[in-house]
Amino acid sequence: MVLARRTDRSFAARRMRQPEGPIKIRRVVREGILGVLIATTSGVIAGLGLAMMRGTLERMAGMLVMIPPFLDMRGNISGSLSSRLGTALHKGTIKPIYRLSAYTVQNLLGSMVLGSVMSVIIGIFAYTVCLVLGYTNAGVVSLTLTSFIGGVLANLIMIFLTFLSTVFFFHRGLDPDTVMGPYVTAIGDVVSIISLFVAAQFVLGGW
Amino acid sequence: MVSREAWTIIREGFAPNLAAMALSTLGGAILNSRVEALLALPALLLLAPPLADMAGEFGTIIGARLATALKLGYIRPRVLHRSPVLRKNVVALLITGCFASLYLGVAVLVISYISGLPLIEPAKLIGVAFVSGIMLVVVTLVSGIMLSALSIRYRKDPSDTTIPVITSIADTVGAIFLLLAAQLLNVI
Repeated sequence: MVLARRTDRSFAARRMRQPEGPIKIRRVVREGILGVLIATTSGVIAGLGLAMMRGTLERMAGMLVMIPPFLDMRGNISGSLSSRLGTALHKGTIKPIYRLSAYTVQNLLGSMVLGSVMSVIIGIFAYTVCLVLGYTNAGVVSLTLTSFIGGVLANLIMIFLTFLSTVFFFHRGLDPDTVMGPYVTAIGDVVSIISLFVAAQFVLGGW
Repeated sequence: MVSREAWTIIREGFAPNLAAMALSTLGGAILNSRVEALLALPALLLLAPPLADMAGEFGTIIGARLATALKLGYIRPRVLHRSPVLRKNVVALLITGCFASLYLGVAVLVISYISGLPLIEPAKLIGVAFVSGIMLVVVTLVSGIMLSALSIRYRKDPSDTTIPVITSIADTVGAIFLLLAAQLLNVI
């Protein structure tokens, strides 16, 4: 009886044993490290931009609250755009040429409108958070205007750059689905920080 | 003229973007709670974006790897916790996390030095980057696995569900760990 139960258990254990799969730890480390180092390096460059604009951060109180959502937004908007364009290129909906078809225009327009609306919401939300938590802030108009101008600028650059790069990579035989992720992260961080700095300077009357 | 195609993009993208924005703003609010210290020690401010980017990348990798392993049949959802594939992935990503956190510390130190930012004691700066980086990688992996397990349970593709959520969590947790590591090492 005991033996039978043991046999059953060992059979069940064998049946539930997980397949090993062709996973080599060293290989995962080697393949993963490049993407992580690219993302970290682009983040360091964006961080340097942030550290350099600390005078602006001091003058526009509360601006730091909207930095993380602002940096994330370009990844979400441009990442989705490149994914959609990549699928359209694979399916043959659009041709790999640097010409704006009706499908491409509507995709760029949709991303641009979404990015602009989100920029306004980021500004208003950052102000609300400052208000609730009692942080000193530059006021709803300054924060929202900075976020909106910075967002329009960053999205305008990133959306066109994403379109051109997706077509370029596809044309060169590379899969945009694989290449565009780290690319959007790397370029987007820098473009977003510079755009936000330009917008803040404009709102503060520095230019 | 905005067509139905563009409206669909706006409509479908609005809710996930709004949720991501709300989570990331929490990260910004946490950083702003010590804004004076961060402005006085800009090397710490410099650490915030790369920490979030690094953690986002780890979340993307674990989500994508678990999704692929599941589709190829290397992982059985019911006994995910005992999976050798999961164990090997976690060990590999922890090793990668150690390298990446060390790299982050050295990169921030070099960039701060070259750009003439007010310096923190080098060992402390590398320590803050390393400690916050490792803590963030561990939390990202744990939440990535939990979210993937939930996605698998509800028959969703982990690469569609885990990745966007992890990126936003990384912003908030990254800000918390950055300030925590800086306090632990008596930098602020």
